[in-house]
Amino acid sequence: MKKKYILTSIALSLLLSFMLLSCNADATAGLFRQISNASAPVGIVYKQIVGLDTTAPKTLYFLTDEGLYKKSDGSISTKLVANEEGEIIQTAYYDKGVGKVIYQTNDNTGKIYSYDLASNTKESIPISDFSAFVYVKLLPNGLVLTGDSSNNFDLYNYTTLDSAVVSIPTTLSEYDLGPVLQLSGKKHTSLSENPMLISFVNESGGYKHFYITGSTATELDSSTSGMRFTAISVANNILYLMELDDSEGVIYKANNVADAVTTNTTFTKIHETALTYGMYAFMYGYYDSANSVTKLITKPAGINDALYEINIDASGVTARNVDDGYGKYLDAAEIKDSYEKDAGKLLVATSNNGMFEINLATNTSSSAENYTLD
Amino acid sequence: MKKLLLLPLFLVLLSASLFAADTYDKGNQIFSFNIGTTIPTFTYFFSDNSSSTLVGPGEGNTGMKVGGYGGISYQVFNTSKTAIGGEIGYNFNFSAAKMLFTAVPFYAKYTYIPVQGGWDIPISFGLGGAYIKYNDASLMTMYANMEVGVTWFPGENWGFGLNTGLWLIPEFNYYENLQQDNALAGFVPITLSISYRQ
Repeated sequence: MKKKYILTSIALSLLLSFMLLSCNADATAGLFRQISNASAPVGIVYKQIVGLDTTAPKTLYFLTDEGLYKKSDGSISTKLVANEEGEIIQTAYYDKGVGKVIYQTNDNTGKIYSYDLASNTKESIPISDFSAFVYVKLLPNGLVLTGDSSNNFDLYNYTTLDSAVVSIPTTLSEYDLGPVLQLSGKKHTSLSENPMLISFVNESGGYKHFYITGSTATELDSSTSGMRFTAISVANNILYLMELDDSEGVIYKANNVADAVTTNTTFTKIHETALTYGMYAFMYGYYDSANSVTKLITKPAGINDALYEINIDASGVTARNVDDGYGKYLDAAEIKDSYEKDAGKLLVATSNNGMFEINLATNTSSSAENYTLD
Repeated sequence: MKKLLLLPLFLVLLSASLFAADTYDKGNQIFSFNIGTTIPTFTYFFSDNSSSTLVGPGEGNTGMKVGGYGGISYQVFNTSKTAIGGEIGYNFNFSAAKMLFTAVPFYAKYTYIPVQGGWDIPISFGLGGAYIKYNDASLMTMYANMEVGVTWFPGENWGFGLNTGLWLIPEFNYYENLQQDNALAGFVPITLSISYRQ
């Protein structure tokens, strides 16, 4: 009898220990769920969707860890510029008007290079030289963000150094450049079409945020100086910002329409996601006019986190995980870039899982690499 | 034809072993090294539709590929036909995403050996724990198995065996947001063993 009691005690203690130890505290999803969702890498590590030429034959330009590629309708992808040691392409811009892909490498020279699509040649002479600046970054919309030794920052068109398109108006001597945020799916569009947000941070973690649209840089209200933004979105002419609060995403809505954001525009917190997001988060804004709902489609940082859809309408804000429909293949993927082909219709490039085409209106997704250029 | 003749011969030998005098006495011991492969067999998520149990290795199924296992076990006979002891091992399977799933099972083992002598047929039941890890998830969980094998002892002490069975590894998550992923995973091991008995 005593032996039975001892054995029962041992068994119960073991059971209790396992229950307490089975925390799985750091997991973004259950262990076996993560494994069952695993998919084989497609062998393409996307970095950026550069541009889409919709003239037949439609051609997509994109960056991978191996270089710059193009893929035309009905053909396999072709490498245009190979990455080489010390010349790894960081960002590219498709300038349809001149028939070139403009790109910047990690050679730290401040020079911008080009690939001529008509002659299929990598041009040996840089197309522009920004080496006079301390900081030079080509953006996917063709602008070049520059910073000088006095921390004056400007945006230039890549074609000319004569005059800046936009100048950051404030002295930023005690600030360093922070996140440069563009709209998910619309990074390739011009400033006249879509805004961007450039942030600067000082040593004590204070921020200055500049809302850039057209040729204007507007510093956001001082109430945002403690906020580290990680994504920006505009839908139905409303500006939404995602703040990282202890790495959890919090959504704010501007109290002016996006076209009229001024220094005095204040922001209202509309949703706490309670999900962890990375330093540059995917947040695509889409207005479903048929149902009068604004959708913010986000991807949390966890590689096994499903897409997280925030719905904003007259009755309030709701949210849900999207692990089926248009989010079917993206719950075990790291989104690197996206490209809006049409409202609610996106190409989504991932780090290891390939490229997908998602359609919010039809709630569908292609499988990996089975996207179309229509 | 020769093979067909060998089968009845094998059965006769087994039958003879069944009724032969026991080889083991209380206090005898068996020490074994096992090495082999594990086949992911199923994953069942308790909150999902029961008809959606994922079956078999590979992408779209359990997501795991066929893996490997190595372990050591020690057992001591408490009767002439049963032994108790334990086993600890290391198992790995790569996922479809080429990431590593590992499990370290450690468990108490009860073995019934109805046929013994030159040929042993051990039937084992194991219950214990396992530390499992994949990507950013890791947890200590329970572990149970049932195995059957055949071991050939050409001499007095050393034997060579072939074993298979079923492992069950549950996942019960503490955090509410993960509880929808509570699951039970099954593996079929196929292992070769080298045993020393005394």
